[in-house]
Amino acid sequence: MDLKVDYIAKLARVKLTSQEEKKFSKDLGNILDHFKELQELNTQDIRPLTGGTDLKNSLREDKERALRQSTLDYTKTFPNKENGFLKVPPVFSAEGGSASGGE
Amino acid sequence: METLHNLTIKKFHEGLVSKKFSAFEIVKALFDYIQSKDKEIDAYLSLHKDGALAAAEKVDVALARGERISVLAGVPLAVKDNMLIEGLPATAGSKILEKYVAVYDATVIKKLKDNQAVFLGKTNLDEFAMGSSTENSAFKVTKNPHDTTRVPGGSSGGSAAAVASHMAVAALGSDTGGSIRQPASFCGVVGLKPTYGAVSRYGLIAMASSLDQIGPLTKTVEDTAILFNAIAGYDPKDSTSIKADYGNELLNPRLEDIKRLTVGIPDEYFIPGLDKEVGEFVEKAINDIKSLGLKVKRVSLPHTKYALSVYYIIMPAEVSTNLARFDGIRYGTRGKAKNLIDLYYEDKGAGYGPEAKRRVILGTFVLSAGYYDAYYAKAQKVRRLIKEDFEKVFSSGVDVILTPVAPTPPFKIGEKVNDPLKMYLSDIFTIPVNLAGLPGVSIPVRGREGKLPIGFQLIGRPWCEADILGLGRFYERL
Repeated sequence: MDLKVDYIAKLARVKLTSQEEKKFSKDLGNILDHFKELQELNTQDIRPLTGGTDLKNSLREDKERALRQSTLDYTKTFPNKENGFLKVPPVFSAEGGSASGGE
Repeated sequence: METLHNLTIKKFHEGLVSKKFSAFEIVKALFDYIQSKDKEIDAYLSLHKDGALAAAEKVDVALARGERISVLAGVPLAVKDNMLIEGLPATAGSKILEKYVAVYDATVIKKLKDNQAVFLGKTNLDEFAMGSSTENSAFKVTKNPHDTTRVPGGSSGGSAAAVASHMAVAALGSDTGGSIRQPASFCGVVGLKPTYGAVSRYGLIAMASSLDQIGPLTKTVEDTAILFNAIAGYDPKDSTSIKADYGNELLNPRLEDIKRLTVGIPDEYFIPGLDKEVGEFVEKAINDIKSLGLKVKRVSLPHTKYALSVYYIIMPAEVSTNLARFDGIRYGTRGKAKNLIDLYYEDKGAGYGPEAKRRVILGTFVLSAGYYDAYYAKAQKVRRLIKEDFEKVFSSGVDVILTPVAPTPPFKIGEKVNDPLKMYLSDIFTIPVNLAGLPGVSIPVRGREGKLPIGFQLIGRPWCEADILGLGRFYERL
């Protein structure tokens, strides 16, 4: 099967244990085998159904709206913050990773 | 306790306005009952006792003042833990949201608060609503109230089990491929997946956005109609929601209208893999419906067998994009990662359970360069064929389609958890309905007292919830 789990995990930015990698290779192999049945169908002239709705350009009126003030602190459950801002490690740094270490 | 066990939304309202009991009394008694009963069932992830008691008291005060109250006022509800209630946890059954507290109300919650409904707590689910047994929750395994060695179904297993064990009068669930209907079938309650767009998804933690719908789980079809009526409607915050006019027949169906409906039985749903007992009892339901005076005929939905493959391509693709927001930046724990990229890897690796990871990997794969056309684009085309199957049947004079909900009665805890493909097959009769955006309701078949519950499914035309719920109501009165 053409699914390389370690490569896909990298694309998805998910760390897998080697055990998970093995199990998923097997599971997903079986699932992809199952998908082969779709090749029986000739779908050449079929328009893809791209979503759940037939609505087109469903837009809100371009008008100002009052922002509802929550009584709660939006930042309360942020995993790391400073002065009401979400704090993240640097995106760019000299080493190609974060220079600041512990954020 | 007898009163609690008999309570439906309708009976609660009647008892409340006739002063048989107060909302406060019932809610208090419910929490006492939950405290002992939920040790056995594990339906709730969090309880909201003080808030619920305060909300109930307000309803009692309003009633004492002679104010008119809604049929849902004071009604004690359970809510699946992937819907946001301001100030309460919303874990979605995932470790990565273990500490998250919602900062706003989902639209369905706001609507129910406007009706003065009472929220008892948040119920267990498969992580991010991914599963058919509620075994994929990061926190606990919910048991089926009819046999605690068996699963309640999923992913809305906590909500279904709470209603079935009388720990809530009714509940909300969400349904992406059967997550309301299959647990309703397994727990012996009624569960509705509304037409796509009927109920706002704002404030529902998204799983697969082109398939997700919120809907009720209740003890009677009548209650389902009441709860659905309250949560349905256009919401500017959900661009897929639609203003539909359901009219009086949603709440007050007339037998003479229902008798005029024609029911279609699709051959493709009565397959060798269908459990014998399920087949027999669904057959009985068909005969009961004939006895009401409806015409029943055989129909064909030829692309049914492809629905599972289509679903397991489209759903994970949408999952892989929707879950990308749970990356350790705004939610999560921030482990020991030294830089941004490691933070993503580590927090997702530690925060997601096995099924969430499996679906993210599968979804990322079907969307990746070189495979998009073979899998994702192909699945979208076959999704069209599945939808057209239904359209053809509905344009041939059939108004309602009747099928089983799940191929088997509730299975044992642990029986399928290690074999994803086997688990995915639990949803083969419910998935096509989501792919086509149709309304579907699961109703317990009659005559299963003392045995494991079995449900049958009624599928309607888009925006024709009144047909399937109307038929369901006359069936349950038989």
